[in-house]
Amino acid sequence: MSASAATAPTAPAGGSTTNVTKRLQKELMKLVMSPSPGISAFPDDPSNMLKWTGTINGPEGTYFEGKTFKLSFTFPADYPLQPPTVIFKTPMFHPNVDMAGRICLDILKDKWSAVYDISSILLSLQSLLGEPNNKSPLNGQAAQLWDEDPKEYRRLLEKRHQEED
Amino acid sequence: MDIDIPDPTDWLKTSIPNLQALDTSLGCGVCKEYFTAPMLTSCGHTFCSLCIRRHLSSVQKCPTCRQPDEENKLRKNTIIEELISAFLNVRKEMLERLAPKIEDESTSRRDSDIDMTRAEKRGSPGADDGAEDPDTMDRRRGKRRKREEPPNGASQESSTDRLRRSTRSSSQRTNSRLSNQAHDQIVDASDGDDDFTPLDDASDYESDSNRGKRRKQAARTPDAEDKVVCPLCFKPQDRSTVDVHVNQCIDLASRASVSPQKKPPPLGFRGPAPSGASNRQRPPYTDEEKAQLRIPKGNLSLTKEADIRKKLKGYGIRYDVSGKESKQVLWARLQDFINLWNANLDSLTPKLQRELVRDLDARERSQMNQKPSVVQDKEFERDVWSKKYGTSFASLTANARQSSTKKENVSTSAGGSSAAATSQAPEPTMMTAEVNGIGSP
Repeated sequence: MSASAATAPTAPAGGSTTNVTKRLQKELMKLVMSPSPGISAFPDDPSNMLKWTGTINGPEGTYFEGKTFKLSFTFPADYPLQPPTVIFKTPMFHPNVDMAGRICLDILKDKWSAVYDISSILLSLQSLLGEPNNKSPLNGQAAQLWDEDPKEYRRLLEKRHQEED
Repeated sequence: MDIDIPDPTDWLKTSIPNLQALDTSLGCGVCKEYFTAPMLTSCGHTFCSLCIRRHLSSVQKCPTCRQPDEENKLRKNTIIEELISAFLNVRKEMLERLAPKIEDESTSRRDSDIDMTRAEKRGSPGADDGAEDPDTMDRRRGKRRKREEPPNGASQESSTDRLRRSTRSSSQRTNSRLSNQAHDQIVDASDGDDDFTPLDDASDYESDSNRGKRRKQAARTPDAEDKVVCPLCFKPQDRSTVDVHVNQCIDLASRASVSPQKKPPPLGFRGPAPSGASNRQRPPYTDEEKAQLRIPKGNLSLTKEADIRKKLKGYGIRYDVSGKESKQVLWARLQDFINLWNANLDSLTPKLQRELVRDLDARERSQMNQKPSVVQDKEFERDVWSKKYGTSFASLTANARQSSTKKENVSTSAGGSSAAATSQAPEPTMMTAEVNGIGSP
């Protein structure tokens, strides 16, 4: 396939492409050829498939509507047996995301399964934006304001979002 | 590197993009490739032998539904294996045939354009044509439907279908007999039905008689278009009797394959797997051999480090002789090899032991620069942990309760809730966020 041939990284020294790289190439193909609305992802550097950048469009009808959020993906050598490390690069104000961008989401931790992929992570995160789990917040202030003071929440979110450079 | 990497998205540009779903479902959920040596879990999900073995040696649960499962409960999923080999046999051809043919479309369009201009030039009485148009359209549509019904000769028809349709419509509207004669002949000979005539009565009385004659001729002496090559014996057969003939052929073939002559089945009904077996260096193992050759996983805490080394040496796997590698590292390598070995037994094309050892080495080298990530969800570890430190946890909670009741007595409860919320924040141990739409792509 020409699309993958252009973007496919060279095999690492020592022989055949590893399982991780192969699987990530497949995922890239799927993301490029049949993209899901509102999400996208691409490797940062074609020679290293283990680091990606993803984007999520804020879901409609939420505080995040009209905003775009960037995330970094770091894949372990035993992916997909282990989940990737996903971090919000765009400054975020959300009950389940801390100030460093770390995310509290079960499927990225103990509920991870090898059948999930980048697009299922991005879709889960997209729905997490609209439906946070306020019972186990990483950002207590955000959790409190979410229901109690939408106006203040919006203000703080805008303020955080402006910090992006 | 092979540029032709098969991928489910290949179907998106064909005329049946939904084949993507079929293609995807023949792929393993873990590696996203077509299943190699597919195995069925006890919960009914299928994965590559190596994928599920590796997965179960890190988490003893099904990757799809998280039901607990064990490696020795895996069973071979033969039908999936046959499906994939049958599918891969026709995949390339299907892709080629279903690819949109741009050249064909443009030529036929040009063809019909020319006819249209001709029709405009000739159709000087105008009024008649206009009145009749919707009627002919309807009938044509009805006829088209009818033509699609008979299943015989479908492949020939589809390729010339567009061309024929355009020529017929033009011939109805115009009287250009000379230019269209050849096409008309094909149309009538292959259709062989009679509801075509009334159309001509209205607009084209002259060609009617000609057509009728031609049709009769075609019925009496079937030309090459009426012959269909039997897919089994490759002999040309009459279109009307081909179904009967094919049935006979199938009967013959099945009888032949049962007979001790050992003639290979003609159409690859059983897939290419059994026929390819004879060419291989080493024949596939019988079930008994497989059961004997399977290596049990063993138990880390019950195995001595010296025994692990002995086993590694026995299989010809490298290890550090000076003893710098920890027991865990040696054990992980042995487990990795056992996964490769046991999965290899399920394969239709088993590799030699030294090839497996080479694969193991390559895999470990590729992971060298990356530290193995910490296993986060081994249930038993959590249990062991909670048992070991259960009493100290209990005393800590008791202490905390005491101090919190004291605090409440001393200070008022103002601002207590937000303090509690922030104190929870640096502890990401309770991951219970329920999220919708995980499974849907």
